[in-house]
Amino acid sequence: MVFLSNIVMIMTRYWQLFLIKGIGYTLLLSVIAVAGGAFFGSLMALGKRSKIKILKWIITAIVEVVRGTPMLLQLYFGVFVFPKIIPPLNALPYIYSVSIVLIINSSAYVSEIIRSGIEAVDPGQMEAARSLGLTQRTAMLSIILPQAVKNILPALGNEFITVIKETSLASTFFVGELMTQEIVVRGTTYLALECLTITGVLYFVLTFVLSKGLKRWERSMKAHA
Amino acid sequence: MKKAIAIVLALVLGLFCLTGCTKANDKKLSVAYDKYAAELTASGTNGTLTVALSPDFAPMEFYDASKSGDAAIVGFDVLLAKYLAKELGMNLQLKPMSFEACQVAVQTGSVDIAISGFSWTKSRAENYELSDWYVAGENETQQSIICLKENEGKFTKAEDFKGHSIGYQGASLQEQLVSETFGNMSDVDSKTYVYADLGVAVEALKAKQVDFLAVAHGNGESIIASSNDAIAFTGFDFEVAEIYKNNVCLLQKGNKDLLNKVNTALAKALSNDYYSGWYDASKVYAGVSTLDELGFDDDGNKISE
Repeated sequence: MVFLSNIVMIMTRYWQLFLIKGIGYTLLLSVIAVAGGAFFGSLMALGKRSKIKILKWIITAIVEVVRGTPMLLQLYFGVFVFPKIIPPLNALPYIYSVSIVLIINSSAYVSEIIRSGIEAVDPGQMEAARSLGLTQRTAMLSIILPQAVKNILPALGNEFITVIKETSLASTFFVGELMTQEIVVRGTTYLALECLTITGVLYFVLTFVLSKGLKRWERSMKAHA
Repeated sequence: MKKAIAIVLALVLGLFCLTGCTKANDKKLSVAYDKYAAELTASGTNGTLTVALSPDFAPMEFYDASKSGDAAIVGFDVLLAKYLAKELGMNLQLKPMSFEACQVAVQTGSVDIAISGFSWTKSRAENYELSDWYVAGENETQQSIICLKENEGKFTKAEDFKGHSIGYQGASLQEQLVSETFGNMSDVDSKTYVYADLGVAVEALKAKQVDFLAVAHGNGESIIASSNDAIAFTGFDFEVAEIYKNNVCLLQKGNKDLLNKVNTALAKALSNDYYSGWYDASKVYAGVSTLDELGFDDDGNKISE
């Protein structure tokens, strides 16, 4: 009972932090990461299929490093090393460096999703398109990619949900997302379990609503295809 | 579905009303603190002083939810940071981050200085420039052990803790104190637990996973104040060596120029006795003590005897 009344007390005092600031920043960061990730991820997936060897190597190296190291470590490097390479970042809040790291991280994963989506399209489709006289470029853009996108969508949705949860690691730098607010409130109230419960429920509601929404969207995409 | 939405809306509305009622209280808590903060507003011509701190450590540094931006980060160390910036003629920029990240930030030169309740330790002295000490009330000079209310007063001597488990925050002064006090007593088979974070440690104490927690006295007061009477001081205090009694600021190795300026400013603050007022105001703000207890009037002025 004390537990519940503590939760009510925390929510009455700090609801703006959790519901507005926290959820706001979490969604903002996730959207930036996934939108940036989709854009650069597509470029990377295409780059990986190009005939320029060096480009291929660089992209493969990025993807492997990003996938092979923990996100928290990447954030540390992003926040403390990027500003040395890109001096203007020094004057900006950490959320900029954190966003860049999230975009790079998400690009690597999205590029792999897209690559597997493209590879899942029957190679016969490309051969047929080419034999009908389409150029490699048109065949890619109007035959292969539209089919690939449909394969990719569910995985892309999953990536979005994963990113929402991964942004919690950015709380190390107090960028303001849900987990930051949890730390902030825990720091003043010393009521860890209550704060964690509130945050957990909010994360779950966010991801649950999103995954249901994505399912619905997928179904309508399938119906129209 | 509609019913669910209605319930959620009703709850949110209810919360709105409740917040309306609690607001009035907050003003009084911050009144003494705000006085100090206003006095220490820096106007910089010498650039910007960037300060790393970990605002999850009431009353030293914590958040005030009713304020926004840099003003929302409050506490003793924030007043000290403001004071330093003012003395150096610089603007102040606070960079909140986790306690571990604070040290990396100073090491990489990402910030000028870290002021986050750091105690002097040998390994820190080897890897950073440490400022002269500053006094944060009894937050550091008194180091205590807290327990569940039912054990209050039963454990007052070091021998009493024999066979019980003691927890502390990792890489903290308490870690050092526990190992110095209990590690040397060969017949004491107490178990020790390390926690990354005080809040989690307090949960472990409540869940009886650990019998005792070693904490700085000031943090202990914050913990007890929000525990609904479940937690109390044991009555045991550590014997604290002089060198651990105060806090220091962390600067990048080799940054002697800034170190000298900071030390000059700290010496001035010490000789003018600024620290106790700042600490008391921060304690009131964190809800640990009331204005009356610490000798402030209702407008937040310190009453001098």
